[in-house]
Amino acid sequence: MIVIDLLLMLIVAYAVGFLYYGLYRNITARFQRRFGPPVWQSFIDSIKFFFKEDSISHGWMFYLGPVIMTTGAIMTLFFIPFFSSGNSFSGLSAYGNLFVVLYLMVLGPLGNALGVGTGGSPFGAMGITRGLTRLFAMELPFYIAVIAIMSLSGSADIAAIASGQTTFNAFSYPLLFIAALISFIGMMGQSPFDVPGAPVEVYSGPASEFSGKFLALLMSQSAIFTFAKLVLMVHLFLGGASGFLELLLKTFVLFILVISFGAIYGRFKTPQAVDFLIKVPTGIAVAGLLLATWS
Amino acid sequence: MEHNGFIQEQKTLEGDLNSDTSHKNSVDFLMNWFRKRSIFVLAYGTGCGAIEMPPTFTSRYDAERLGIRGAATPRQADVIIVSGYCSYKTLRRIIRTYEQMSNPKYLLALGSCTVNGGMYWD
Repeated sequence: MIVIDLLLMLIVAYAVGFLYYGLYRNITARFQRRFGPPVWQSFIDSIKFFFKEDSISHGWMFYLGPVIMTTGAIMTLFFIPFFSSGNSFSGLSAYGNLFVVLYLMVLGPLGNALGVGTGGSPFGAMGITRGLTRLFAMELPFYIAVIAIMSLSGSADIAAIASGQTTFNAFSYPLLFIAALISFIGMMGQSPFDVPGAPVEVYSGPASEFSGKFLALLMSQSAIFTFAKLVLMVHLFLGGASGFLELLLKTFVLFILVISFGAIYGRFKTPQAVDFLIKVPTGIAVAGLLLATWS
Repeated sequence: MEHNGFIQEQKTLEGDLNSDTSHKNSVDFLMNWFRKRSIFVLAYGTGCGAIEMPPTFTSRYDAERLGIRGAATPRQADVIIVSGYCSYKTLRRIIRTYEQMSNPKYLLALGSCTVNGGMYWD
């Protein structure tokens, strides 16, 4: 039974992640006074790459890069329950709590960095050094906020944190939410923190040497991972969800908020981004933590 | 058989395209459907024709509504557009870029400069 549960979670994350990307392209297009592609365009893009006749590989570690990244994304998804109570779509969350999820979230990019390094492309190496530097800075406010939420809720179980909120944590602890949201914008790959994958700067950075099935795998894991991160934020700060409609609505609202930031702001350079992330959101998170624990 | 000149000769060269049954089963139909809906273009702006490409891809004559996107690297591209005159230096680099792309790939020549020299013919 748990296998069917996991498979359904995977299918839902895959479908909803790609649909959200399709909606993102449409909404960004409307910001720019044009119509966008059809909503299912991201599915078609990634499946077309599976149909490429050859994929250039640079050895076994290069092959393993996207595989490790997909593994990290899927395992993160499996440990996050979709609903705040009940047994359906709970995946493996009974066997691992928020600590495991936070650990698995960085497994993917680190594994991919190893794979990109063997590719030999200088743009790939630039992209991953920038990406890991940004990750280091981004984790700081996010972890302070999440650990604060954990200690204030008295539990490390995601479903317990989600169902234990009388009012949303975003409104009870607004400073923690703002700090986590700023970090979350970077985690979703949006401006102003999206320099590692920028197409005009580093020729898509880490993805620059991947073609064919590797690129298809990278795009698919991006969709799955996006949905997993959105669900995690909904459970931690927006009160969780008790049904599919509520889950989709809350993740969609959060997604629109994040990509609106991305559509408006320009891109920070890596030192600027690290400087900003270490000072401003970390300060907000620490202030929020002190405020919440002293009162 | 009567000889109608150029048109007849062209017909014998083209053959009968509809009788080509090597790509007609359902998997090929599916692959072709996906490939035609999503085209990643490497806009290799070689020369003067490069100025024609940004208007096609941006807001007025939006190419993204047809699934056409700009690719960042040749590894990710299906189509490379060569849009101007090629000197020997440029030609060497175009060949290297074309070899980096993965099959199935297409090369599109944009403008008269690419085809036969255009206004630089003499």
